[in-house]
Amino acid sequence: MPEDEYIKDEPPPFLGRWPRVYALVLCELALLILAFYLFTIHFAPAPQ
Amino acid sequence: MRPLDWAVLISWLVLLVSFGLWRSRGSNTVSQFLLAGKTMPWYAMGLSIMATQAGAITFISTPGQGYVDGMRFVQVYFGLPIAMVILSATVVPIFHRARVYTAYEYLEQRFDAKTRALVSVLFLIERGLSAGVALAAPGIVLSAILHLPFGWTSILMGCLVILFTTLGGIKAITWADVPQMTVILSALILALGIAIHLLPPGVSFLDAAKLAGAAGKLNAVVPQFDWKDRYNLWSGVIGGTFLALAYFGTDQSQVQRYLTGKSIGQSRLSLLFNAMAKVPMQFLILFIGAMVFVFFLFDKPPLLFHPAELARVQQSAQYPSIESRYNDAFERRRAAAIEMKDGNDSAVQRFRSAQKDFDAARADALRLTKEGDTNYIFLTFVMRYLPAGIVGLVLAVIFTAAMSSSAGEINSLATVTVIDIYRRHLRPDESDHHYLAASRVATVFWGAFATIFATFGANFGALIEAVNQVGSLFYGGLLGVFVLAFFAKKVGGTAAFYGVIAGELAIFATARFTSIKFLWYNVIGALVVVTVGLILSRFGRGPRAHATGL
Repeated sequence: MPEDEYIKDEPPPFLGRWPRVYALVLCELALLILAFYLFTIHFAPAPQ
Repeated sequence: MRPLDWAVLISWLVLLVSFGLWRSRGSNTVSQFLLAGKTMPWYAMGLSIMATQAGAITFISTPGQGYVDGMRFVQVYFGLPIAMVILSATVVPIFHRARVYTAYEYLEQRFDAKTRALVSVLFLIERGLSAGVALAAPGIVLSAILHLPFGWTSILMGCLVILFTTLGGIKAITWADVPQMTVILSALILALGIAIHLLPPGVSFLDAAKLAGAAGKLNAVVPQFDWKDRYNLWSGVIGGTFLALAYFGTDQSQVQRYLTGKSIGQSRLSLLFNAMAKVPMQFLILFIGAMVFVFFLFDKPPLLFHPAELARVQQSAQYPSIESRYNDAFERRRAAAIEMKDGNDSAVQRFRSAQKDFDAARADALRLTKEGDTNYIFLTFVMRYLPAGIVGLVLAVIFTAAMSSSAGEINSLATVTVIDIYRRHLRPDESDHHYLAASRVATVFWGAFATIFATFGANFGALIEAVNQVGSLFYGGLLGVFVLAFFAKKVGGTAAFYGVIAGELAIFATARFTSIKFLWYNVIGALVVVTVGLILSRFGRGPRAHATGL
């Protein structure tokens, strides 16, 4: 394969720019942690 | 194992190896053999990275961890997406533009030959030992469950890995990981569905979640900070980020995966795919463990899940009393669980009291054994309760997961041996054909080493645990030197070299003299390497002579 394609820094296939994709990934992480926290609280054993 | 299970197991092994070898035809240059000719699409790299990391022992032991300790282990992965974003933005374009075969090759471009050699040797020690463990640990469990002599499973997996990796190189490994990871995810979802389906009539999914929660198994996030607690939100986010940065940014077994990408963008997408999929996947695996726990609230589990250890305990004088307490606690716990399911909240205290007695009886039995039984919990459930064919599929997935991670590690060990040691220091001016042959010889060597190590692994179970801990002793040093390489332009080779040595000494001292848990070793090691490197560079003879990348 051509070497220039290997080092070419093309835009992502969605959202237009890589920083937006990074933001999407970090938002998903924040939402997952929040969801897991609510899940933990909801099912946590009541204090004895 | 029923005949249908054996048929599924053998068919899957043959299919997967054949598919990988078919996709790798034409790997007859060093670039093809070690980097797949830089032609891989993002989804193949992404699934392969995931498959290499999720070795068989993860698949075997993580549900068991959910059963015993709850879901808090998921927090270890909270740092992974952060690390993937950092690596995609910084490391991926640097490695691509440097046109390297290995991460350590870049260190010579940036620093000098001795720093590259030091880091390469650290990698060979750490990864060489863990390649054996990748085969040994599942081999031990599978032998106990299938009642086969221990060596057989490891030798079978080892021979297949050597054949597969030597013939097909990284292309075969990566392409085989695509169906492999797809089947792993399918098998996990199937196992969860069956665990829920097998609950007694009248116990709904929500009832099961409430019962698991009452037993403290759904503790996915622990926000309280504690240095000595292995798994909490902060150790997961901070320590987990450093661990993932080190693993995916400096470990050749992972770096080599995304160096096969056909472009920077494809490599980035493979990492970001992992960033988005890994945490939910680990949550799912741990949740399966929690549901298996609920299943065993109603269906009495064995006192110990490890068959050989249970037989040993049954010979002891304490067994009758432990068994009596265990049976009594189980019956009280089951009765309380049924009342809780029917909406009687006053049964919660009785449930917890019975759970405490149940755990105490198991703990007394475990004290009489040589090793724990966490790794045997999920497989016991699979073997006893899953239908014919599905058992074979789950075992096939475990076999091939072990082969996948081991093949990836052996391939990366061969790459570093040939590119960073053999070609750099011993035979620098040979032909491509010569280095391809050397790569295949190195693959056979590391494959044989891993298989022999795995074959002896049954005799020292504690050694396997020690080797797993050894891995965490090296990542901080590796991460620190790459941080210097990428971000500290004024630091030269000598300062980086002594920085790595200081970082490793700091990690070993922390492990030996403090009770700080392993996730923090990467943070401590990396910080010491960077600090010492920066200090030495201020008193040294000036910056490195040559640099590339940034």
